[in-house]
Amino acid sequence: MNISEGTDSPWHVLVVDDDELVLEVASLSLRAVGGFTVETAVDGTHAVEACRLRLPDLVLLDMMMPGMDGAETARAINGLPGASALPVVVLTAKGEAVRDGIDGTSVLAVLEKPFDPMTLPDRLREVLVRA
Amino acid sequence: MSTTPSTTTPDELGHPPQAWAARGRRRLTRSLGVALVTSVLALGAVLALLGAPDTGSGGRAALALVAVVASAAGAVVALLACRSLLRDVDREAGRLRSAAGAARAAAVEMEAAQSLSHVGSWSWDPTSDDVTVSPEFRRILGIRSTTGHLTTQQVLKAVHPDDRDRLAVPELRRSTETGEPVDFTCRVSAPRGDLLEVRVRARVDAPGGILRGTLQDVTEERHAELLRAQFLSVVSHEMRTPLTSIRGALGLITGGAAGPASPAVHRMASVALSGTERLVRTVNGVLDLERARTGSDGLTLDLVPVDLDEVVRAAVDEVEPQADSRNVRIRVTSAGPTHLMADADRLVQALVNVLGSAVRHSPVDGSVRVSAEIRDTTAVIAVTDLGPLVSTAALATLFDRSTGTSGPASGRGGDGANLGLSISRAIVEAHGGRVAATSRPDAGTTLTLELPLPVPASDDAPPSTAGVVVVDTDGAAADRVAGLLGAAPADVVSRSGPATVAAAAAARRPTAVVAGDRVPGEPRWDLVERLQADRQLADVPVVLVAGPDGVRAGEGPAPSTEPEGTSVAELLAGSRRALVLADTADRAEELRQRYTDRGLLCRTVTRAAKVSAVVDHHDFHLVVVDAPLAAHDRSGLLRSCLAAPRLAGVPVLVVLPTAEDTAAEVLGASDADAAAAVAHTIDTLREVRARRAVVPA
Repeated sequence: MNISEGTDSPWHVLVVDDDELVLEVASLSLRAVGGFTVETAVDGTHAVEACRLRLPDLVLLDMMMPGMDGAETARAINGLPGASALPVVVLTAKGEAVRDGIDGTSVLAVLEKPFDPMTLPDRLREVLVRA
Repeated sequence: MSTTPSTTTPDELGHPPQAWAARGRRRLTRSLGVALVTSVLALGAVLALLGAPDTGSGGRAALALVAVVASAAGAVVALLACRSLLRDVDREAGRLRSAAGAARAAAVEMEAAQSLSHVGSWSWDPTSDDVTVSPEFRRILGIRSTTGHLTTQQVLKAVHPDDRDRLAVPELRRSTETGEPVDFTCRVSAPRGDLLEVRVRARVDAPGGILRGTLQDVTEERHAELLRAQFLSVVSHEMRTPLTSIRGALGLITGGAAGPASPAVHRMASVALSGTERLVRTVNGVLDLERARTGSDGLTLDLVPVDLDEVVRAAVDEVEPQADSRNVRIRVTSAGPTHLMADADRLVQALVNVLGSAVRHSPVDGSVRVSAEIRDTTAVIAVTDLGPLVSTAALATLFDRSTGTSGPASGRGGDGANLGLSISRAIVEAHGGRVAATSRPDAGTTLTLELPLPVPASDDAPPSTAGVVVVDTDGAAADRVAGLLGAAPADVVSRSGPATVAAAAAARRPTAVVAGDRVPGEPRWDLVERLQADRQLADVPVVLVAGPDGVRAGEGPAPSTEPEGTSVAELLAGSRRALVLADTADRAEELRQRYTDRGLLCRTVTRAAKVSAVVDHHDFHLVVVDAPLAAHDRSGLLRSCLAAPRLAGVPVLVVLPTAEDTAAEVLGASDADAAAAVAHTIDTLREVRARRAVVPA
């Protein structure tokens, strides 16, 4: 797991969501409130590509996306070298079936949409610290 | 619907044919008797005339008259009897004709009703294997036969091959013998080649009798259900996505993360934020209710042992801010330690809705009472407020979805209260419980949620002498572990596939299963999953043991005498989540490193107080316990972990120290210490399970 960076350098989070407004809100929350560095991807393919270029410390992943859905994206990311246990947190609208799809992936937490942008960074930090 | 038109006769319509026939027979007999007597008289008179030639002409004339009169009377009586009989026959024939007409009309109506509702009827005679079916039944299954009598073979031909077992003769026979109603859905090939879904229902009047039932085409309903599920999913996603950005943007403004805002902007954003949150709650509520309404595939419950007081506490915590804003005090009466099988999040949600309603209706500066108590086999949570009383009529529909009782007449107005309470009801009912409400001037309004408690374990539990079953592919190693634990050699299972091992272990009715260093199985989790899935082992602790040799074998080259099977270290590989427990942070880190290298996602805990923070938010596949902790558990960490509802049933791996482990200094790597670690883990598992099963009276 690539979480051995010193505490000085900020966590690097990849946010994946097909809705650009959600991306913008989540990014601002993680940057302004959490002090993270943030990269975004609008779908699963771009997310996998971004991870191939640079593994983030954590992926915040939307479940329901056109093309590759969240579970498929998580699996594809886990298949990259060194990313089999990369912490992934999925964002899901309540009521969408997630449990089955993410079995066997490195999804460590499931957060519900809509989320509170003021506490989102803390929740990701919790996951990062425990991972 | 169980009447079969093709077999309907006038008998069933209340006109017994024997009655008029018997009456006719009696009349005919009487009349023929009279005719016989008169005929005998006539014959006597004729014989007297022939046998007495010297009788005077006056006498002859008298005799002849008697003969004539008697014959005539006999003929008249016989004639009258026949006429009356004919009239009776005519009348009865008329009645029969109308009865037959009524039967035909009933059959036509039945056929029309069956055809419109796509319900066919059928009956099966177990002695003759004769299936009597209605025309709609034949139409649904596309059976061409013109007769209403079929064999089970003819019927089965129309059923999808995968579903045939359920309609097979032995299965039907079982139902007729046990009297258990038949009710299932299966697929059939429609005449045009599409697959239809049909629901088959039947029952016998008395065991061993004729099975009568219906066959309903439910294809359209199923399709509608599917569309509804898709609709819900779309609504869920399409509404939640914009709400996420709205909620998020407003949260960033009110939180100050989007830069400074004037007090007025801040205030307006707060108003918008609270409105958005209410909208989110409503959308969630509607979706929850829809899912609950659609039944078994709808509201999915994650049932685990749940502490009743914790549910109450969590719900009160959630409602507290709302109560504070009205200066309402929430007073809680505890039930004492009580566990029930429930979905904790859902149950909290159900109680939050009820509590929220009570707080909303409670007078400002008032108080709301929450009490949890045990009544027989039921846990009762009662929430009482002293707000406006609710009329008896309104009480009956307080938990209903309809908005009828939300009007001012009920004393409980609007604000989506009914939606919330109806969700509570759906959740409680999904748990097999029920809701109730009372409202009295002296006692206020009380809403109660009643939930069934788990049935306590029966006294005739498996004998404790069955002991511990040790599983290992290396017989010598298994014997050693068994010896350590005091398990009899016969309780050791070795060298067979995971299915055999699981079955053999279950058959011994063990008090615990200990898997040694080498366990059979491919794929790797097969054995563990089989052990857990086995119903007879459901309550039996499963403890895995790692090291010291197995851990080394997993790291270095395999020795030539490598026994068959998978080492525990290999078994654990793969993206599974493990909770690592140790006495010290150093040791926890050491184990975390070791098992992370083997592909496990590890979370470490070294203090009991931290357990719930970790356990409440993640599902774990394995609990890894360092031997020194397992052997003594002075901090109570192992105990509080194993008692966590979410870890119930998760296998426990006890890591015995290797020579180079720092733990070896703390805990000697002796057999006795290893045994103490395993035995104490088993004891702790048994103890927490027993506590879950015990229900305070």
